[in-house]
Amino acid sequence: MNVLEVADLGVTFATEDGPVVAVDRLDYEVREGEILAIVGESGCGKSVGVLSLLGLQPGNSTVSGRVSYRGEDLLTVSESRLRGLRGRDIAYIFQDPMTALNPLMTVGTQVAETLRKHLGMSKAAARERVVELLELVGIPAARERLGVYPHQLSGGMRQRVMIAMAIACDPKLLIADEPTTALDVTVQAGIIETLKELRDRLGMAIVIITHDMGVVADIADRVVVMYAGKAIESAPVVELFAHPTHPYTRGLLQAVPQRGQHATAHRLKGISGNVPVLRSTAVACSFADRCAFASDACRAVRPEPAPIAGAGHTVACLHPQTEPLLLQKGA
Amino acid sequence: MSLTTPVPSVHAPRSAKRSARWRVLRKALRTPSGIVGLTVAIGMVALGLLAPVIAPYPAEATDFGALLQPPSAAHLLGTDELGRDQFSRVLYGIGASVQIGLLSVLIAAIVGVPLGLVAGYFRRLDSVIARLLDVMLAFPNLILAVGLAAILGASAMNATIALAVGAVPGFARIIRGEVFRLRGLDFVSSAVAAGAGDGRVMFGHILPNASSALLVQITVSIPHAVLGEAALSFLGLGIRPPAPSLGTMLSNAQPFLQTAPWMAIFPGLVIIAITLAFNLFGDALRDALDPKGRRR
Repeated sequence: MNVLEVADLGVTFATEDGPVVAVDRLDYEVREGEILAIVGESGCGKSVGVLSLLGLQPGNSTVSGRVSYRGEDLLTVSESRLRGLRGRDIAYIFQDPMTALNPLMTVGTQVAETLRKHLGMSKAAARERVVELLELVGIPAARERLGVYPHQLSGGMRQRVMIAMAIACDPKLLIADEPTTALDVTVQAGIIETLKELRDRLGMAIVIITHDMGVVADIADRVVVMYAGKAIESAPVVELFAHPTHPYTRGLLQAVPQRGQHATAHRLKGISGNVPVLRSTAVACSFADRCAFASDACRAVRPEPAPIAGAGHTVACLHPQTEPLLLQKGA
Repeated sequence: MSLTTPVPSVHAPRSAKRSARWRVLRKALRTPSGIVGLTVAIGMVALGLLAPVIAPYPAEATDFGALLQPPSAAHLLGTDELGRDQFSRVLYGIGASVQIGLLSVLIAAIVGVPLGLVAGYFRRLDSVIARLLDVMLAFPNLILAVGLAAILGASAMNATIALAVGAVPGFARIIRGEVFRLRGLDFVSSAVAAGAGDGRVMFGHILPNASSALLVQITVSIPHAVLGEAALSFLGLGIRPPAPSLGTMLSNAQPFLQTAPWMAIFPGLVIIAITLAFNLFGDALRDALDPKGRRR
């Protein structure tokens, strides 16, 4: 059963230099209770792709396609219906916990806000529930923290408060936009652990956006690799790491330092060039200009996602690379 | 304060917001201009409020045996052409000025703040409201106030309204700018993403975070209003004689500048003092709230 089905999603920004396509015919689905990671480098449309699901995209953009949440098309429902879904059925966690909490509102009031709005709880009931929630996300001395202001908490604690706010109404789907990017590595690990536990306990599906392959390996059940607004490869996490097939995915994996790899002996491989800015829906492979395997055909036809060997593995590439990826080992 | 306080004191968290506010005030008061400004401003307001208690004579009592007297023990600031005690009239005048000044700023804030919130928040209304404000700003404040006071008729109430109208665009623009700044911040997006409605976002999340800018705007608007009131009264468009007002006292003093200069000097000095005091305090407050915190 799929919680969310995104089909043919397109997001186009109207800029002074003309239209810019941020999301280009994107398809993916999220199954109940699953953790889906969306991976890609900066500027490839990851964030705006998920913000547009609930009409939260910036004002100068237009959204097309179909977004079906348990059978309801979110792109056609009314604004008031969206408002009812936001935070209640689908909740977001933003990237930077330093700025995502209102600095003038106590932690308790802030978490209680969603409860009071969506569940109509009384002040006292909401307060009790907030204590439970804060404990659930691993904040010690939760009751004493109710009256604390965000600036009194560390980054990791604030991110936990954000998570508590997001799960307050027991949403079916939690969307976490780079929830660990702004945090220290040790704190990151704790947050990832907490998200996994919450999924197991509350059974919600999680979409996690990241560009960190380490986070992906840690948390995800399935991965969608995005490039220039398109899903270019998707597979269960083990399959993806075992058989990365799209040249871009392979490039991303090669850019991750390996254990034992010595900095002076092996330089990390980067992917040269940048994500192209699309003026219209792509008619060729957007990665062709950065790809070592690109042929004339890549510049003439747009590759469509197609299943390949390996369970649930699809890739949009004319030259899928199947030999095992040789990750450099330490000298 | 450190950004990462891993285990904050759990005993005194309630006072955190208040202590943050007090910190700003304390910082403002560490500067000479802040402490002088606030002291003089409070002193002036107190003098105005206590005028009926302090004043040795009724404001409108004439004494034809003591016309145009220079300052003396009996009449601290001398008397005017009708033998009225200048000291008493200055005290009542301060009261009237401060009252009109504060009231007009309050009205301007009550009208201007929602206007700015709406303009900043709803893009469609913004162009309409912003143009309207631009038109109002195109008129010099005083000319606008004089025009309005002339239309409405001379009275303290109408002067208040006229001055308030002139001050509305200032408030609306400051708040509009703050909304633009705050609307892009994550905690606002995050509130929207959690299902908060427009009203909740505007009044619960944006306005409280714009309060420091609002506070500064209020403090710097008061001296403008006080000066405006004096100007209107001077022109006969504000407080009607014989009721005491600093502006009318100045205007009365005109024919006697050479023979009885005290009639002009003391009301003038008081106007300067009030204006300067609020301006100094407003500047100190603005510096204290400036996150870049340049220490001089």
